Amino acid sequence: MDKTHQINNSLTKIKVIYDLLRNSDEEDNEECIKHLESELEKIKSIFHSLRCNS
Amino acid sequence: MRILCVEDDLILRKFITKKCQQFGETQACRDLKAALTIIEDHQFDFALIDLNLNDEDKLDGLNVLKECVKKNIKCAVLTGHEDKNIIEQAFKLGTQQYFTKVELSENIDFLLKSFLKNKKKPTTKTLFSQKYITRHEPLIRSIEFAVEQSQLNKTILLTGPTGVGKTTVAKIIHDMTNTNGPFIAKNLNEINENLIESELFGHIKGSFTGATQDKDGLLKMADGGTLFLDEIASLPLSIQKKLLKVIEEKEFTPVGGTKPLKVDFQLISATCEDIEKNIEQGNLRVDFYFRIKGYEVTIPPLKERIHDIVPLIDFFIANSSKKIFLTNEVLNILHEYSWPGNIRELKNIIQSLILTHSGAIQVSDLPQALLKGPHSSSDEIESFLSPKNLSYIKQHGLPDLIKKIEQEAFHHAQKEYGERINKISRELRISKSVYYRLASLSKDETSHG
Repeated sequence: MDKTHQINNSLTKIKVIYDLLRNSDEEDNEECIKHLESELEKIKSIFHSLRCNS
Repeated sequence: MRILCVEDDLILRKFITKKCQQFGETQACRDLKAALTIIEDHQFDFALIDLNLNDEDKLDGLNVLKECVKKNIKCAVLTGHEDKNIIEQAFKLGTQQYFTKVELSENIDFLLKSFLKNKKKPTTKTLFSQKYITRHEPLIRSIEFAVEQSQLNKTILLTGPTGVGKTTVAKIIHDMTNTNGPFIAKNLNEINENLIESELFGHIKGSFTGATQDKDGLLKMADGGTLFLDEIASLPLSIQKKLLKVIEEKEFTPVGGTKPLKVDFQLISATCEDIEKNIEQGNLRVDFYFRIKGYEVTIPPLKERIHDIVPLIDFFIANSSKKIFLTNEVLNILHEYSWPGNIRELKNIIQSLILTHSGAIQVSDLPQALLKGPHSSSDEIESFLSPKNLSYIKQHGLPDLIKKIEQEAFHHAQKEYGERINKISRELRISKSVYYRLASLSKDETSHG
């Protein structure tokens, strides 16, 4: 998977998680937040590797 | 509307499922194997399939798509990235739409709504071959006429013994007339009598102990679609009066609410009980009965349509992953049996044979009940007149035996249903006054014994 595709995937999930968080009950929130943090980490590492390459 | 969602990513699966649930009953799974099992065992109207399941290169989703198309399920596919070749392949296999995950959150509502809008009404022929197998011409004509009446907003009442497929017939009428709206089905016998009002009308937070939040009732859930109420005769009289008002005025007020809500739904009711007897016994309001019986479809028991037995068996076997074959002797026995449990009983027997046997089914493989031959009323009378009972009559007289049988039957029903007066009265087919007489006898017996 290329970097653009990876970022797109993560952005998609972040949008979806945001939607779920907005509409979910409290029990779901913790799980959503974990996924959100994991996707943000992925994006951070992609940007980090892009920076290192450039 | 039954929807299947096939997506390997947990969070996307959860998101899509939540969205789809607003439009119908939704099942979700994560891979090819699980999807193939679900498709085999259940019927769906629409499937949303991720093409890249677990492995970016394997495109297992295309195999799911192929199976769904084979089963006449309308499909839309979801791709991680726009690859023209893959999308072309998906369209060749029969998908109706595709969209990429990037636009998922923005487009999913639009996709589902537009799909529902374009959903064509299925033909009667398709519905009868896929959902309700019968060759009984008067029944087919009656259901087709009910569809016409339903389109004119008439209420429909389905009558017939238990297990003849009243819910399936109700769904066919809904599918033919009200494709886009929800189909809400409820067996009123399953609801606790104290909760029926709240279940039907919904309630407002704080309206009674335990009402911790606002809750929509079945009437609101069925808005724009069909409400199917099975075992309608078990509706308490006070609720019959309220529901009658809703049917006539098309508005209702939730329990504890003050503001009436507008509602528009098609009502289909069903019962396996003797309606006239229920009216006589005061369990059913006459005005309510005539309001729900806009057009009545009587579904005959299976023993009156033995030509349906073989097609039904073929249908149950065809819908199973394992195949069995019934010999002519077995079929003869099945034709002679009285089928008190109707289609449900036949289905259970075939499914149990499929689970426990393979290949040709012999007479010895059949359950004992089938081998006893058809039930006859003279057999039942003989069993009552056992030597023990005859000797009891000689000693104590017939009225005493009848009294004993009454009490035993009442105890038995109390053990099974507790203090549910309506349920026990219906099951024993006794009036409320007989119920109270037997209940007081039972109490006396307990206090003396």
